[in-house]
Amino acid sequence: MLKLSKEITGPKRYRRPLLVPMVRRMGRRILVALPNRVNALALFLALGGVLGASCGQKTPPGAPQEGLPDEAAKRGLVHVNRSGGSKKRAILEAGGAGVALLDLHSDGDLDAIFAQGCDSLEELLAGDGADLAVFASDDGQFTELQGPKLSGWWTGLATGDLDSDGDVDLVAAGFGSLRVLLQAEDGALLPGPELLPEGARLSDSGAPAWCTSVATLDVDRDGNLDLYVGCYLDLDPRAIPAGALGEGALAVPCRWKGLDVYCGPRGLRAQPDLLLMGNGDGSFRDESQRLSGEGAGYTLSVLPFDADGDGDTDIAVACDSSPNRLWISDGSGSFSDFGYEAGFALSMDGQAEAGMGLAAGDVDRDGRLDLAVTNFSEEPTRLLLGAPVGFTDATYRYGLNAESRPLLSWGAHLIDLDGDGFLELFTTNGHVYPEADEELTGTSYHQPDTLWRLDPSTRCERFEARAASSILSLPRGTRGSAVGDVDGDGRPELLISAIDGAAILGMNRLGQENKRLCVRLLGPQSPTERAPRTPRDGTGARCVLVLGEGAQQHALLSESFTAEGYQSASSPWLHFGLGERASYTALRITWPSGQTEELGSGSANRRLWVREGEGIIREEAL
Amino acid sequence: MKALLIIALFQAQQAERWEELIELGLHRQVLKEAHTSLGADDAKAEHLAKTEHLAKAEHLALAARAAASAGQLELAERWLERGEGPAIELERARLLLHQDKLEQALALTLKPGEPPHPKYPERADGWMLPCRALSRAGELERARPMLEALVTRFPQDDEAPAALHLLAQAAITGGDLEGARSWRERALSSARWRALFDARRTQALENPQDPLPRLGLAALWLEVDRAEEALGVLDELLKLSPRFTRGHALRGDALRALGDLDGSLSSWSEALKLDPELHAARYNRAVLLIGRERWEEAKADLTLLVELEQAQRPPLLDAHKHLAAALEGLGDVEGARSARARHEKLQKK
Repeated sequence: MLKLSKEITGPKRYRRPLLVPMVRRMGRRILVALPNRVNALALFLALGGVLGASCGQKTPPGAPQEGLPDEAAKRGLVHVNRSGGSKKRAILEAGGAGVALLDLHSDGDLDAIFAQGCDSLEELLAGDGADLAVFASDDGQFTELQGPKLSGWWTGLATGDLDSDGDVDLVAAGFGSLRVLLQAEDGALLPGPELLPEGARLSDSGAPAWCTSVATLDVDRDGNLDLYVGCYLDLDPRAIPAGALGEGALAVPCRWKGLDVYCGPRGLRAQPDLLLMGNGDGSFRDESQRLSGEGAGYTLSVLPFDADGDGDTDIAVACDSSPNRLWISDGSGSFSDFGYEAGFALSMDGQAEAGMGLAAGDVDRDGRLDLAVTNFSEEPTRLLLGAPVGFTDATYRYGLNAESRPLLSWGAHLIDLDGDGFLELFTTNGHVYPEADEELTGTSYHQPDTLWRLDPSTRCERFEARAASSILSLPRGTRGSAVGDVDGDGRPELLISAIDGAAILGMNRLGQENKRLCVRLLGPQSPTERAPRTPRDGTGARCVLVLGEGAQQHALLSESFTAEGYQSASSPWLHFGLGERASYTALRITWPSGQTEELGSGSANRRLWVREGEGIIREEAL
Repeated sequence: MKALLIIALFQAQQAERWEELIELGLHRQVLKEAHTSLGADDAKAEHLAKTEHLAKAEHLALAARAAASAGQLELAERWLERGEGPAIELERARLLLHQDKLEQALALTLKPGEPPHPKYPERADGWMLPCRALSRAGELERARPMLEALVTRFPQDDEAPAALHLLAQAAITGGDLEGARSWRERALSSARWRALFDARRTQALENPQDPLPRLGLAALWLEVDRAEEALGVLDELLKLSPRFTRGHALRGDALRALGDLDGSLSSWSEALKLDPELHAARYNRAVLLIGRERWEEAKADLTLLVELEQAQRPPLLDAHKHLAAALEGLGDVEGARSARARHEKLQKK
């Protein structure tokens, strides 16, 4: 019999943001059916998992050799990223761009949008900035549409129903600009006014706000989507530092391993992040004072998730060359940074790393969300397992250090691509410095993307690319990435933006024999009278899929957020892998309103639409 | 014999330099130099074997570290095979950590038995490497006593900020939130010091003839009560720039901290000879002169100082009080009373 804690079903209590309450809350996490965490750990130890060697390189049994073929061009996704010159003389040129997978026109097909940079800063300053690139899909075949006619250097994209009208909208973040684009009835994205205040825009003198990543979330549970906007650093486009920071004898050269490189982030001033509260009509008000933490970090990625399992949304922030932040909500939409306390801010070596991208998923299937954080070269991609209090760093137990150290990784996804019920870790990779190709650097500018299987009972296994067409085979410089089922077969694909290169679409041919379940969680069509409410697009809903019976029973956990990876927005669909199971035992949903719904058993290989208070409103076979 | 001593001195200086280059992220430079002096390929190694005694373990270890940073793990291992001793063992442990071989790294760095104790306690990395292995293995609590020892013995080591952060993390795990806060504050302060220290060293490398980076470096050493290191840097600075007044002034401060009061008087006097406007040096000299009951000289300095606008507030405000003492020493009771009254009045302001 499945037993679920009632802790998550009770009314939201408003709390002071102190560590002790947080610690208590973390101890009262959702109790999902097992496998028993202790037993899983014992097995892990018995297999020599704790102090062994690095990941193996295996192609899992049954995985077809074609794996994840790149079919971007074949499917009409002909887009080339522009990100300054090839030599990368300004830090703005090195970060690349994000992507978004979203359903424009509400036709069920996932469309693609690419953020875009410019050929040079001069071009941007001359007013000849880039537009977003929009591609509409028809059953997985793409056609480029006219863009929304923006002009800027765009980095991050976020998606969600910002005006609660039932369709998805877009947020574009960039260097000196932050724009909301509401979807019109005909599917066109109509740019709204500039969200950045005067003085922070590109057109103003000095360094503008540099918005890297944006997440849509409902921090105060009023049913209106809010925006967490990650900001990077002060860079005056009219006076780019070159060669050194400082002047005269006290100048510090901008070097990496003795090679001259662009300046930053160290030595440049970090910008504070923004919290914009939604009014429910696509407009926002700045309430950044809700973030009560010291100083600012160089934010590159933002990930909303329920870190402590208390039903409200917390926020993980990956910071470049500064401690990562973990904003824990007090339930009313005010946040305190518990990054240090949760073991998230620093590495296991006690050092701040260069956080690039973030992903959340329940890797060890214990009912707590775990995190992956990508980092600079010579810093491993971290795997942090949710623990009763904070996180336990499992990077070394899984053997991720030795393999990921040479890589500089960006986008990250914890996703069950092969449908076997265990999550994989996918990362996009590529160095920031073209100089990495010089001798004696220990790394390279172009790097292949990587995929690791994270079965909790063993060390991680790296998927080997056996076909030249695989997205895992070709060394490139990839940045933003999004997950979504592009061809409608129930298997999630990977859409990737390569810096200065062609877009990549990794079609998922993994685990074709495995069963799957796709779930779309939706809030009520009309808002309830009193808060807390669930946003109309279901953002923040938590889904537990229960599989099996008796001792074999276990649960898979996922949450409905689109912001993940690096500067990108994935599809809001939840993808579960059921392995050989033809059915599931139960589906339990906890809505941001505090309501819970438990749906009975059902068949695998289905696509379900679930609306709060109405249960399954639509269902179709995959 | 003399030749051997010269070689040994050269080697020690080179090892120190390589260590500094590595700490400043200039591994490639070390690796290039190591290729020349140690030889990378087997043929050259054979040739150099005849002079192997010249290639000390410290060099081989640093060269191996540079090679590992360049991704050349095999070369690093080959170099390590040519040496023995603590530096070599610890570098092996570092390589094992790169490869997630935590248990083997612990075996190399810890003495057998409990509680864990480092095999090589005379070196900072002798403490930090096993702590790092324990932390990565999820056994931070076992590392805690060693981390505390490390930050006590080597408070300015480049690993100190990380060690302090790990202690904060261990305190959190143990539920000691107050302790965690205190460790973290120390960690942040240590990291700030270290970042400035590295910046100054980089500036000094870039501008070897300019006195400013070295002056900053010496000030940093004084900030953490390491007057001997500060003095070393200042002597080097004044050799390059003998007329750099602030160097002489700071040298006076360093010598005072070391208890060499004659030396500090002489340095401050030299500074004031070059630049009479160095008020801090004049003030310090006057205070020292009072301590030595050299009233006339003290009075001369303090009389100049109290006329300054800056003497109406700290830190020069006390010049009035000291002037009173000097005048008293000279038997000028009325003058002393007047100076003291002025001091009190300004203090109230």
